[in-house]
Amino acid sequence: MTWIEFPIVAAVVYACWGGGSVLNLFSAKKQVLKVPSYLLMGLGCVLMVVFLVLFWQTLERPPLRTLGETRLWYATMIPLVGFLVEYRWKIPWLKFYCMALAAFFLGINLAYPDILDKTLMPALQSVWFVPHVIVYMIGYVFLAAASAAAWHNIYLDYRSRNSERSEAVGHYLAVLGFVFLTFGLLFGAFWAKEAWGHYWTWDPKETWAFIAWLSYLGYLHLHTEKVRKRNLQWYLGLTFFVLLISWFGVNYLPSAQSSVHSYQVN
Amino acid sequence: MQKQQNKPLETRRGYKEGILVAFFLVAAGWIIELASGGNGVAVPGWPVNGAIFAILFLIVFLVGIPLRKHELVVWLGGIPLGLSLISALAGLSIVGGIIPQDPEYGSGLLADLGLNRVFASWPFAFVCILFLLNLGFGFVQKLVPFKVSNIQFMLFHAGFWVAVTGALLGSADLQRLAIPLYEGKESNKGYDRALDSMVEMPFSVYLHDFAIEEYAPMLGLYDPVQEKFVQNASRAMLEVTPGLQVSWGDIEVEVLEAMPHGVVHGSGDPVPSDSASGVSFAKVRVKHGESEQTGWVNPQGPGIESNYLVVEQYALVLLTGTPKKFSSDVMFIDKSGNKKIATLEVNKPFEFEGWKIYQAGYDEKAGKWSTLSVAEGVKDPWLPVVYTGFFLIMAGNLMFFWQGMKKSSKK
Repeated sequence: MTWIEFPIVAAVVYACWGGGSVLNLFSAKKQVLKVPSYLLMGLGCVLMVVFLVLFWQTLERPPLRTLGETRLWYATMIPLVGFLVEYRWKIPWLKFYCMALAAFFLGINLAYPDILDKTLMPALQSVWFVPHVIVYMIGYVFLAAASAAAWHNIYLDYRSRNSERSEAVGHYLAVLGFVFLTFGLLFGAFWAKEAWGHYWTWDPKETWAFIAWLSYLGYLHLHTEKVRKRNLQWYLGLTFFVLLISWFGVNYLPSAQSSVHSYQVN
Repeated sequence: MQKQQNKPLETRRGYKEGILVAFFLVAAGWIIELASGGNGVAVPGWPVNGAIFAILFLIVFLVGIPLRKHELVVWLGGIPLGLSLISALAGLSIVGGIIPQDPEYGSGLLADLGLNRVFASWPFAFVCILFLLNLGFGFVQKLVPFKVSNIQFMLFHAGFWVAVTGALLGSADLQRLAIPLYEGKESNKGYDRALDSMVEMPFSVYLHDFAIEEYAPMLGLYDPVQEKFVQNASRAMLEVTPGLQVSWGDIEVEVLEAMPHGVVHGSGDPVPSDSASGVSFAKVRVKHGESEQTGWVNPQGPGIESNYLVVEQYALVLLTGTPKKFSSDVMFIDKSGNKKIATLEVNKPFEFEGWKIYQAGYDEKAGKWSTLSVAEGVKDPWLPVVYTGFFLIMAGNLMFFWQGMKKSSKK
């Protein structure tokens, strides 16, 4: 599988998620639609996993180097968190936000197609490569789900509806995301020591990862301070944008010209 | 606190003071930057930094524990101040994350305030010092009286304290040297960027051989007008192998022969050679509409001119593969004549007498013919302190994960 087949796969995945979501919404009235709706949404995820595996095989290296490649992982994993939350906490709406976000990231890949490049620069050939990036991706996935929950809570709040249970879920997702973010940061430090000689050099990517980490650290402390519900949900929802800067926004900042974290090929 | 629940933060007890102090620290730092002519903070080296570490440590325990109920100590170790300082730290980091951190960058107020080296500036130092007190006092609040349920909190906060204190104070004793090595030569000198001078190392390094392994060469269609490569139909970077077919619109290219290393004698066809003397060659057939041409293409090398095929307004070129691996076979020799042989490779540093030696770079213009290898020597005596902090954080982090999972299953 290469980027040539990607648009076809993405179209089928869109159809699965879109069709499955519609069926799922109608299944509230027609029980019989429930099973096919989950099968369809699940099929979308299975297709993504299969594409990733085959893509990895073609590349002959972990598909974690370029931003386009990391977006594939993200699009694969985030709907799974939505399903996990529904399974565990009986909250059905999060999966729709998750699939929408996943579809959005697939859309970025469609709009800005990557180039298949099997090479892996020596700095990335390390045992830390896969754990560092995967742990970060999982962290991003949880935090994206947490922010989706936060937006939903803001919506519930405007409709003056109770959101206690989904606030709790948003918080758990944020805690899980923070845990993975912390591991990602530290794994990165250990790797940097082995590859570049020092665990921390205030490289722009490191700096923004630190800012994002501080932002979620702020969230955790605001949560223990029991600030006003609505404010806390706004904070959680908006903090995700800081994370997006550290993920790919950094590349567009003036400081990025000196970054050692640039693995994109033009 | 419960009563304050619905009040905005800035009107709650402790927040106004926290925000004011954070502002004051940053402002005071900038005033010092302006007054001192922009030299930034120089952390004192050993043993002064060790003494500062000990003093901070003692303040946390000897002041923090007996006075832990004192209003000022409670505030110093509290969340209001903590959140104010987290914001200040994040704010300064955003400045450092947007403005290139290079003392040569920018001029005027930007340079005078030290915004091009934020992480060595006075505002950052002041915020960090108070942040460490905040973390430390927050830690002892949970230490006494001891409760098992506070272990996760303590691990996280103690780990952060140890890591940050060790990293900040230890930066003065960190030595990073760029060591230029030439094949067949021995050297005991390294360039210290912090001092901007060559310094002598306690050992010398002899470079026996520097070698680069490359990925397969790639075909590219270059557009000299647009000054860029044209994207091929397969949206892939294609490694050259016999039988490979590539197309750019209606330009079709087939690789007939590929020679990983070759040389040309006179005007004849290339002949295979060893990797040290040759470049890669590919014989290709190009079809474009009615026209067809066959020829050799190759990148430039020592004594070898590059060859390309002209197709319409484009040039079909062969690009040298990017480096897959580069390494140096070296011998370390210490003052008493002890020798050790090693291979330096990216991501595989070698330890010698308290130093970690890295493969850093080479003469990129010369590529695989480079006889220069740049190694990096790093001595960081505070690393164990920082890593102790990291491991404490990770232990706390694991507990946090477990707690989060447990809590959530209750719901």
